[in-house]
Amino acid sequence: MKARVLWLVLLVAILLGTMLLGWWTVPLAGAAWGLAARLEKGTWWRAALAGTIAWALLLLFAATQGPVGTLAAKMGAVFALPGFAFALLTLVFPALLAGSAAELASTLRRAWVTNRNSSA
Amino acid sequence: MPDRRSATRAVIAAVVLAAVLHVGFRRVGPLPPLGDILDPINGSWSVAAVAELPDREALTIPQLDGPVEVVYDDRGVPHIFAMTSEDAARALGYVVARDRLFQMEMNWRSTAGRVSELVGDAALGFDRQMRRLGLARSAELSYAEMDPSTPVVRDAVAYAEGVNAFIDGLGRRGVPLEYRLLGARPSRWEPVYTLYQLKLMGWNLTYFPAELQRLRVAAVVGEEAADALMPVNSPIQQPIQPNGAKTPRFDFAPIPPPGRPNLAAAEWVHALELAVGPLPPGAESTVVGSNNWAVAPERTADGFALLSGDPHLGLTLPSIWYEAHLVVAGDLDAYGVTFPSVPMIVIGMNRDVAWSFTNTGADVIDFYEEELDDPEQPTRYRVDGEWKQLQQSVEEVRGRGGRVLAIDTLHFTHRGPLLEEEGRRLSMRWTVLENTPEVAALRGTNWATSVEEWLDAMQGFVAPAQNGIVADRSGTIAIRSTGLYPLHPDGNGTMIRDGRDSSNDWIGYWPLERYPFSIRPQQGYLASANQQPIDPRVDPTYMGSNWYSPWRAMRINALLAADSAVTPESMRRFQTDPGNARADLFVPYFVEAVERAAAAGSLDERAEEAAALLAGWDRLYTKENERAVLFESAMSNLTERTWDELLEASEENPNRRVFTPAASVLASLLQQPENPWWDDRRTPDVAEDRDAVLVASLAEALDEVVEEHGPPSEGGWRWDGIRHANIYHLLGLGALSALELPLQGGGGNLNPSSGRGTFGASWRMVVRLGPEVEAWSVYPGGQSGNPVSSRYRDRIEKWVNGELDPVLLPRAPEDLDSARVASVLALSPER
Repeated sequence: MKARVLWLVLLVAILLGTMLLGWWTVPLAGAAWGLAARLEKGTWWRAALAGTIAWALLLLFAATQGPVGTLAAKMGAVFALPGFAFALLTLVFPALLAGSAAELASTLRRAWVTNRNSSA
Repeated sequence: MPDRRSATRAVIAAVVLAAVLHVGFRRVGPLPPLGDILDPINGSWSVAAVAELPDREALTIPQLDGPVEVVYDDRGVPHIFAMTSEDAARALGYVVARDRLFQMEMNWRSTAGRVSELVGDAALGFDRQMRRLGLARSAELSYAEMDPSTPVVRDAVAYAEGVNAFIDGLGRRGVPLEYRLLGARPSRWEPVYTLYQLKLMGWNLTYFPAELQRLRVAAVVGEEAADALMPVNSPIQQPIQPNGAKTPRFDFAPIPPPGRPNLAAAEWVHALELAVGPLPPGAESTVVGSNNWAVAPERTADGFALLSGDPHLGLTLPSIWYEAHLVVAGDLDAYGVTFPSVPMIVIGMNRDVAWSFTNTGADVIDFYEEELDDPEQPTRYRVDGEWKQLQQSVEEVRGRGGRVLAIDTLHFTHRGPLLEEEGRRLSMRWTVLENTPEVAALRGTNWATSVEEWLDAMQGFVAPAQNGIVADRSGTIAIRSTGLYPLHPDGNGTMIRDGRDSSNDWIGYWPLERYPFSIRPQQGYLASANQQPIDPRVDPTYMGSNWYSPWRAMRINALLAADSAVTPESMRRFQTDPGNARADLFVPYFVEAVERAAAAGSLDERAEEAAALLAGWDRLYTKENERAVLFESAMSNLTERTWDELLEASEENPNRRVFTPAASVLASLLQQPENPWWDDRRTPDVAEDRDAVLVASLAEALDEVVEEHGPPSEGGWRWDGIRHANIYHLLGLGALSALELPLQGGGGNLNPSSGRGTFGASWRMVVRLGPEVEAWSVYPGGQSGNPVSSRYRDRIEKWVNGELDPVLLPRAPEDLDSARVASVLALSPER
């Protein structure tokens, strides 16, 4: 239960952080969650999923504000990609940021805990 | 200690995170920082949120004197209702920035030679060249000398306040897409940038040094031939100032044979090429150009004067023009197009007068070879035996992130910038660099209530010299080629002069009363299409050389002479008229040459077939036409075969033709069937004559067209499948461009097209000067510079089809039909 709540907190943090401050808050939120969640397994994909869902929601919000389909098509063409690939890239980007940051933070935390315990 | 598996995962995570952060924050190769691109709220996706205009919006611009209402109609045109002209300028600055901010930034950076700061090293050469020319320096000097209390300066300041108000309110989400792609942010706007824009247009429209072309030709075929191939007077006279003739006059003069290369000229060519630097896009094309014409009431169907504006420029997305309407009750009511940077209407109309421009094409540049005190580090130059101080400017050209890419020390003589290449030191005098009040002149036109007032306002217009056509509601029409035209001590502007002798300097300018001019002409119409403005029999004073062939002028004059009941609809049709005076002149020569060859029994079948196809052509460049392609190919072959003596002698570029004489010069040569120019150098054993070259060109054209487009009966020859307009985005991004647009028109048509299709009609306008002014317009693009906006390229289809939209001319906001209102922007000085 607590893990699910924490994951939801991560999702909301990514969502609000991106809205209010910018994309660079995604790895910070991921790292903080990686420290807090204390998971042995699944850190990476859970954080990645939160990043993707959060940005997918933001894209849906953006779609209510203007022609994001046209934008995806044009931006995709600028980068020599199909429009859907540009949208896909937009969802992969936060997944990589959040997932890698969470995994790194989680692993470092475990290393620190292990170190502390072995020292004790 | 963490186990090996955990350590591996941590390393992978760290590497992935570092890599993603790196591409998120920093440019990687051509890719912009991806974070600012992919962020769905603050990144490029947010561009979609500002693509369309809100139904209603209220904003504050503290510097406003009073409230301003901006009503956008359903064509995206802002109708600005203000209480003062300065407020109108502020609001215009705001709305133009909202739609075209990146374009505005590119414009001023181009003039200032600061494009590299945005796009990186790729623009270094361009930046250095623009700085060497001193366009921005000249604008700064002009602006510094302007009285800040004058309306024109106050408007420029107000405009800047409007632009900066928009920039201040941008936030991260409103930043235009191009800045995101470049990883840049908008810069503040300065009032002097308005002057920059006109200097940039001066460069675009007049930086064609005749001296360079002439030297190139002289270096290959000698001086005498060079003079003939770049004649001071057009071989076909259909001048802008009517000369009383009802038809064009053909002044075909004998062309001397190719002479011996002029070695002295050859020594100059390379140095001058380097000194002159890259020419503006399209500078060496004489195929495209602008048109304008006006018809007096006695020759219109409803008895009101009509005016057509049809300036041709480089085509870009967004368009070079922005359409707007400025209303200050009881003072100003001007509608038309402006350059994004200029706080007034440049081409358009008010309630009494309509006007438009074409480029004069006069020679307004001269070069002087200077003697310097120290070739390496000069400080002085010699004039009349005395040393004069050089002005010096150290220019740091910077790239992205402020990195210094180059440091150049520039020098200026009293004539202008000193261009130093390969041991040659040339100073340049150019009217565009003079202290010039064009902005004030343009502003004055917006207030003119009659043709006479408009002409008075335009007296101060200096550069780029323009053929300004004007009509008013009283039925008066007039045209004047306005601008500074240098007077040379020996009447010749085609040579590099000795700077050591001040008697070589310009001795003044043409006085206004001698400008090519006509008002209330007896013929009842006036037209210009970049042709030689005045018949040399009327005034032989040197104004320029190598004029555009007057095909478009011939065609529009013929159309206007043939129609004594012109309507706005026929004016619209004329703008994309498929008829072609060039084809009318050349086709008979091809066909008759083949007939003569057949009679002499020396004909090949291909030429006979091609001649039959050409003879059956209606000589129209309609989209569905299937013969224009053959004629164009035949003309290309004819040009190549005829002017093969002009191929560069160097080993580096053996196939580069140093210059292509105007088609009107080729028409002159047609009158000399045995002229040695016809001889094809590739066949040393045979001395070809005119007919042999015409026949061979036509036969080869048929082969080429069949090879490229298939047999003539299979539909591959349709003109709309062959010649296209290509409208590129400002950054050249294909995805944001409009490419391969079918066109009606070819070389020499009123709606001309060039090979690459990147030039063409930049604005089409028809105005009826009746009791109430009515107008119709279109331009290739849309009002918004946002590529995602529905207003980005919404006018292109109509432009392609030669259609015009009726423009709305409300006197007050409530005059606009609510069904035609797309958005309302209320601007106020306070919250």
